[in-house]
Amino acid sequence: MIRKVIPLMLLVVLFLAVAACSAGQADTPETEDAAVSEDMSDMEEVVEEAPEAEDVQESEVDEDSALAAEIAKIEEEAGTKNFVPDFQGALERTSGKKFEGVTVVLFGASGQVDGLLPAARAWEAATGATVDVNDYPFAEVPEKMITALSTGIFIGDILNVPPYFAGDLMGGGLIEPVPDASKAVLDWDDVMAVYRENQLEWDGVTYGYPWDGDVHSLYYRTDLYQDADLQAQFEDTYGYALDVPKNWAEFADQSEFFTGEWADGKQHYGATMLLMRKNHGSEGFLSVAAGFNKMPDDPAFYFDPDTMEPRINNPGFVKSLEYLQDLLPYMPPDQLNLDWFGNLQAFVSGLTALDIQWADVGPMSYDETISIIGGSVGYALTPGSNEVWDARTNEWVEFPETNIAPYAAFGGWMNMIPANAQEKEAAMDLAIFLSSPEVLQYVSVTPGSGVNPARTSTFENEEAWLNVGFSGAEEIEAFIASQVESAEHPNAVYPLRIPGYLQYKDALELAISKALAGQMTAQEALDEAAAEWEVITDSLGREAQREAYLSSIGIDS
Amino acid sequence: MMISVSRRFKEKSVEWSFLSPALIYIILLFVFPLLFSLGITFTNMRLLAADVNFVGLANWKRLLADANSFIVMKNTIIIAVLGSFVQYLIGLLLAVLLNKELKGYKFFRVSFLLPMMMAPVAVSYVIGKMVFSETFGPFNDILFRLGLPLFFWGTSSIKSMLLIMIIDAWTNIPFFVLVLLASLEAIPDDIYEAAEVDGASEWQRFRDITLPLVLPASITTYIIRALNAFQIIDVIRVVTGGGPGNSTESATLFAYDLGIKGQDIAYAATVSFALLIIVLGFVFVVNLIRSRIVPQFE
Repeated sequence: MIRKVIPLMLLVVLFLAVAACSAGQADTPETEDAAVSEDMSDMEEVVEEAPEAEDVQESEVDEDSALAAEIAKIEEEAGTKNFVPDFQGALERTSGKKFEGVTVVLFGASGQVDGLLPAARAWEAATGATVDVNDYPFAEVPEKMITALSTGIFIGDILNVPPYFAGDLMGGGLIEPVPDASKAVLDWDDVMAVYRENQLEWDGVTYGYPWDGDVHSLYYRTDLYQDADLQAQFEDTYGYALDVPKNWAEFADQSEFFTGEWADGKQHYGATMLLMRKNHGSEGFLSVAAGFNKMPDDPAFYFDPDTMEPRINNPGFVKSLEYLQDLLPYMPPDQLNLDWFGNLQAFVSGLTALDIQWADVGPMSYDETISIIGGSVGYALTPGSNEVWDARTNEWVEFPETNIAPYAAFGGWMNMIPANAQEKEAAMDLAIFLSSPEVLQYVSVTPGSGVNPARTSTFENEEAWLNVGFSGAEEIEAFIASQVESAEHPNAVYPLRIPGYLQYKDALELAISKALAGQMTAQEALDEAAAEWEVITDSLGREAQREAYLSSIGIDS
Repeated sequence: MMISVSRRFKEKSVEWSFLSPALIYIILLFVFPLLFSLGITFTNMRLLAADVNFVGLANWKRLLADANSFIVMKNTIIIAVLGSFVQYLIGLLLAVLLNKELKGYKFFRVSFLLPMMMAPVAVSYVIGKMVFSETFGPFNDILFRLGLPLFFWGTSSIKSMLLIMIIDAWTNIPFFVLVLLASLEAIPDDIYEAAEVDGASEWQRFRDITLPLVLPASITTYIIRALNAFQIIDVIRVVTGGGPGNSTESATLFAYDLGIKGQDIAYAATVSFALLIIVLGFVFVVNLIRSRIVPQFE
């Protein structure tokens, strides 16, 4: 009995439910009519209250002035007493379009990508768009980006990344080219040639928007070099006057001289540079190797451009590594484990007299939380060598004047728009804004931004550099000179940027680390690295790699 | 006969229908990735590269010719087999002491477990990069003030490996303490009391009662910890980066750098499979030892 009653009850419930739905539907037209009617009456009111043309203009003027006031407020908040950024000027270079409701995702390294945000607030205010950040620790950026792009996963509308991915990303067709119109509004000639050609371009096509320029320079303690007693002691010991080292031999003498107990009764060391494996460990070595190996009339440095045979185990590179082996006793005991910040800290905390580093040293020397040497830092080009190995003729060449070859270590950071960006138009607009001379001036003089100059105009406003705490015009001019001369030096060496860069780099860093730890001779270690480079080149295709290398150093294949 | 076959088929169908979710889960998440990555080892697959070609045993030949692959395997075996064994010994010692319920044992029971709850990356940075920093660290400062030789590990393969093992031990000894303490607490007191009545010394009671009774748990715990240690990457990456040279580089870090940073995913998969073979060999050997030793105490 129950079995019959239950289906019957369910049937009744179903019927009632259908009836209820039908009633609801029957009501809908009335509701819609009512709504339309209300809208119409609203519209009538709107029509009745429609403003005159003058009122529209006034309203637009009000909006513009409100926006200008908001931008001015953002500029004021981002600036300091020494420097107020011109975000309004940067906005005038953009399309002026509104992107209400659009979210542009910035992908990059934590800390580095944060530097974009204060300026991006002005672009958000002007366009109505939102800027979101997808950031990861620096070491994880390659992993996240490569795995995402290789599987077609969206990771950001703008990638803020180093240029060593150029071969894989730009060469792999994964990046949108920068339109000529964008380059025109960005005063492209103002971007320093070294970054335009070696960072932002691939095979004659521009893919990157400038952000950060990077080049290694020499930093030294002016108070020590100006000390009369130390000058006399040095001259007695080494037979020549204590002056800023111009070649690596002088650098070694001075490193030895400054190692020991100083007037403060504490142990100090001569020099520090980046040698930690997997943390810029090849940058210090290549800064030295550039001087011993880069012939001014030979654009190639890492490979033989005809055969792609590595040059890194030739006598010039071996001498560079042996030089570092000899220099190691005059560096802090944990030199091989000093990462970028540890290296910086070693110098600005007063532990060493010399440092080979990026331009961050200048501003960071005024950060009193880590530095005790503010106002006592001198700036110069990295030393060179008077004898240089010519890999084309396989012989040492004597130079009457020191052969200087600054190393544009790491190569800086740039913004790129990936082919799978979801908001390309807005991303392009934001990229133009961020790479404008106005924004790059702001971030370059903002302490802790991690951004170094990539544009010539960034150096022109010397007063802006007071913002980082520099003591005055003399120091600013010395700082600027070291950066400009290094970046624009005709014999500058740029980092390798062909596919497989990180594999080549790791093999080289392993060799450097083995030799410096005394596990192998310099020759053995570099022979091993060169053999590994050959394996990598073959696995990626020798001819394809050769073409990429030639392209990267500006030679037509 | 027909009825019997039909019933058996029905029974089997029901069994398979119950098993199928787990089977699908295992095939999708374990078998397929394993076979797929094995297949990759016979290709030249690279991340960001469209072309994938069959290269036969080229990656395996490269592995056998690669001196660095042998070094990282050796490092990994030292950390996993030797490091875990030392951790076991210290863990057993601490567990025995905590089991004695000495004064303040409750505090120590909790505090010994704290390192296990902390992120290895943070522990690695604090201990490796700060406490043991050769230039700025307090450890060397104390040694200096005491007039002792300083601990410079940055250029020493042995000292760097020792530091890695110290940090790994600090994080993982609590695991041994936790399991072995539970095992010790399960031993009935009357066995010890009987041994005491028979005049057994404390060492004899430990050797003849405690050790045999915790041995099964010890071996299982050791295998679990060692299997985990075979995959070590975080501590090494933070503290030494694998250096000096590659004297502290583990197989996982080696494969990670090759595959993810270097994009050579095919060779990275080959290294990973080589590690898998070593791990299987290790488990086989330990189980062999277990089958010989444990019955002697039963």
